[in-house]
Amino acid sequence: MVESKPSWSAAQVIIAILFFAALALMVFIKVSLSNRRSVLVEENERIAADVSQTREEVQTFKELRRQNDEGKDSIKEMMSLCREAEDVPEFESWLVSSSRSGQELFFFVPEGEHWLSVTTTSPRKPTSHVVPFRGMERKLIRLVPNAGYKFEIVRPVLRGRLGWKLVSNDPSFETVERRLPQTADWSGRSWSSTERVVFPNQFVYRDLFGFQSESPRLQLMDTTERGRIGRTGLALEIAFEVAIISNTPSVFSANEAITIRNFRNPDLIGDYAGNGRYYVNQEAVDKYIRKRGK
Amino acid sequence: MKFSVRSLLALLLLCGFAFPIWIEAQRLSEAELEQLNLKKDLQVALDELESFGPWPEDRKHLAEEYDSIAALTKIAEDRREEIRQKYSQLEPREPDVFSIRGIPSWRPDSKSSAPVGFVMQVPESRDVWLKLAWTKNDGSGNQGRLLDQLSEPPTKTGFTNEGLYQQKLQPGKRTLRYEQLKTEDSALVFEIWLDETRLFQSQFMDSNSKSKGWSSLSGRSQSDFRPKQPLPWLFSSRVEWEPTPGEGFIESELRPTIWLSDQPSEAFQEFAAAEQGDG
Repeated sequence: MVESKPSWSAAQVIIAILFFAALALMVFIKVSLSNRRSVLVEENERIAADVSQTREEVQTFKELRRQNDEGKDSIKEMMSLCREAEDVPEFESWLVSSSRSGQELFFFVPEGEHWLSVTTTSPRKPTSHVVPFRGMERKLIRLVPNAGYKFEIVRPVLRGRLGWKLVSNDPSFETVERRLPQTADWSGRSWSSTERVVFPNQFVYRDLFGFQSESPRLQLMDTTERGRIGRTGLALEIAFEVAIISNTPSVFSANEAITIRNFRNPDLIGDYAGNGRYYVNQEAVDKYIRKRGK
Repeated sequence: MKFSVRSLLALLLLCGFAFPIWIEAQRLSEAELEQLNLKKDLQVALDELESFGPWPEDRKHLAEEYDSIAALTKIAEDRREEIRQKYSQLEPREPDVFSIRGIPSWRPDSKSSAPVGFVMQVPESRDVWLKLAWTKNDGSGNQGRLLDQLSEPPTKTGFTNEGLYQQKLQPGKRTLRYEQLKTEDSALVFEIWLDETRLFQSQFMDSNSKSKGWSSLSGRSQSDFRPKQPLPWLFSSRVEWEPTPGEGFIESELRPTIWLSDQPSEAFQEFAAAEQGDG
């Protein structure tokens, strides 16, 4: 008996080869896709972890910023509660000030050389209704560092001469008192409120637009007292400007430095001075001011 | 073309193998989409983080600045408590002198107003009456003698419990506090506390109301009143409210005013609803 073998035509052989080739290709595709997906899944896990870590960091900074803003408000509010120079606490390396109703000013100066500049001027040009103020002057008082102070405009209840007084909580500071000429009936006052929680000689980026090139003066109080001379009805006005001048290196706060970097002027920032401060690169600042001034 | 059963089986097998590939391709595309979204999220988070400094070093220094302010805040919070303690005391005077001084106080949080407080020394030999009324903004609001003569209880003040109130203060050291709060639906509430007892509470009836500040006896230094000297006006609060939402606030015509007097007034009633509080 002759065994008959199944005979494969050429077409059937090609189809069989194609079938196995397709099968092999499919297996290959499946394995590749799986590999690619598992790589992606791993990457996604890593990115998701980065996202969550970054968000956590953002949240921490937001919380720190909120605490910082509230903290500064609470420092300023505390300063407004002071009634005597003794009430001003030691604020480490910060310069803190708060003026109250334009009449009293409380401030703390840290280590370093500081002067209080008290300027009394006439805010208006004399006219037939306005008497010229005869006591225009600028007094510079050297301050004892690491001490709290109370500056006060001393105003008579109704009629008399205005004056000012500077008292410190440091016993080595001698109280400074000054009486200004010209008697008047004092009835009005206008002032702009200023509260500071800054480093001495802290430079603010936006000041560069005001082209301040000299050592920055930090204004603490700006008050105008209004009076009338007896029955003449003539007006007498005296403006008080109180500022701090510090002989310490100019600095940017770390917060300010970020603004400056975001404005793409990193060369203005010098070395890190510690405690959240950077030295100001004075050369670059001067160059910047000259360039902008043109 | 003619398909044999074998061919059909082979095709079916191939289709069967194609299905998991299709599923895998779907999952891969989902993973790619997820990665795209995650990368976007990461970029947003990084941009936000960079607003606190482009480099980790900048952020470290910023955190140091914040730490420094946190230390200052602690110093300030300790000191304000010391200041409150210091100015909550009165310097001794003759026994027939009435003395008063403002107690330094601060906002409990950034959304609230600071209470207004006074410490008083009421002499045995002098009757001192605490009074509350609603007064117009015409300058008469801080003249105690005129206010003593009020005879008609106020109406249309906008407040609950409107009326004329008085209470005789017990001799000795007394503290008085005026607090303003906000209800959940944003209505203004004020409370008067004598020592640790809530004497009075009133709420502005319009929910959209707020404080417009106040005027008070300065009290930064101790004021002393000898037997013949008239007792002081203490406090007047201004309130504003918005009759139609979005159309702006207007100031309420009548404002709560508190003052002290030697005499009781006929038309005034005792402060009602005294309530023990936690202070």
